[in-house]
Amino acid sequence: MSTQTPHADQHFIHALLHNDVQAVEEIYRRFGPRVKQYVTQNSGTADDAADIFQESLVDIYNQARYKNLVLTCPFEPFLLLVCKRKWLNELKKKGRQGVTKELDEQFNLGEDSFHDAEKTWADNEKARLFKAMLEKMGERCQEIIRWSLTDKPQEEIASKLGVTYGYLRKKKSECMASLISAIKENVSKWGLT
Amino acid sequence: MNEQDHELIERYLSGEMDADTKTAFESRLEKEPELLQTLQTWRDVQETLRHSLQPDAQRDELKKTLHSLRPVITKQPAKVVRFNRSLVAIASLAAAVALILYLSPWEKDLYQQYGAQEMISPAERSTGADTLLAEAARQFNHHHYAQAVVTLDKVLAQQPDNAYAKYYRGLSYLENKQPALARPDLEAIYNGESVFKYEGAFYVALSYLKEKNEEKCREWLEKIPGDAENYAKAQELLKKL
Repeated sequence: MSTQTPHADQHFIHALLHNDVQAVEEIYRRFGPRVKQYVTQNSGTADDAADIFQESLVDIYNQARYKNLVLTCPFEPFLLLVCKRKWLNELKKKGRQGVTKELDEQFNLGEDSFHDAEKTWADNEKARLFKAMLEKMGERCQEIIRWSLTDKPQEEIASKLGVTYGYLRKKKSECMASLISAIKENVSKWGLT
Repeated sequence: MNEQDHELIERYLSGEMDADTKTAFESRLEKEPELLQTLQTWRDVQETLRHSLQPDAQRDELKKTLHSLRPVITKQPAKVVRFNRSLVAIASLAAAVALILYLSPWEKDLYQQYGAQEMISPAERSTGADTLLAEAARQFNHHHYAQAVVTLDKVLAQQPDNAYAKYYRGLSYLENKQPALARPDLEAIYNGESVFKYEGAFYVALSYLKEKNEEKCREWLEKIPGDAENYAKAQELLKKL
């Protein structure tokens, strides 16, 4: 992430982090219509637009909270880029194309901002892929992986699951290996590289 | 890559390797790009899942807020801002109530038919202003309009742009038989962009009706466009006049 001083619009990110209802409402009022227009003109509905808008804001929250995202450009083009990326990928997943209308051409974004927006989308999409693949696994594997990702000592987890420590480690590495291979099979389907 | 390698990765990442095994493993990592790549993915998957699976109360709260603002995007026309779903639901309920009142043969006074309104308590946001708004809603709904005005004054002192408070202060004045005081608030609502925009116009019209100024009343009802939710109600009243 960039080490530049934050853009003045960083307050919008702050609003997301602190659930500042009035400021979030401002985000909807000011930037919602444009995203709606973009999605509805590109084979989507108003509901799709609302989903995209909502998910993009959560992605930005996650990126700020867990990956230290700092805004170095105005919030609007950044948000629009994340929304656009997300919508294009949704269309691709559904096997549809046909996006003709551009959303962000009027903005002149620097490389860094572009990269940050792309990464915000990609990191979050990746997390969704990982979670989706985990949820497709057998119950036992899910249980073992979920437990092992908590801060609890592995010995405690083994006794909770009623197995020996050695067995837990062996089983966990099997589960992780099959999770990873499922992820690899789906990476490009999800539009991630 | 075999099962043993997977277990080695797991042991390496959880810091459970003795020094010798670790050195040997690390030198393999330098020579075997596939092993290194799997290790990196392994670590990435663990870290990413750790973040996305751990409960985040703050994120849950944000999601609630986002959900409540959804109608800003889904509702037509886009130019009018909505507060939340429950408000929209109550607004349609209010419209239904108005219609029933309109059809009631026992009501004679036109103002009475259309004036009945309920103030909806705001969504829980646990700010000072919202506590006041909830209090104002109680006062309004118990027909203590003068008290509601006092409470809403406090809200507006903190948040002069709070359309919700301004709208209900206007209605409180109106119900308290002070139409001239009601109008500045309601006209401000009409000139703003809130969800209450055209309701504002409707109640300005009613404030004139209250003063038996049917001409002005008509003039304000005609400001309500065909795509506004209260268009039908406005047209009904126009016919009645």
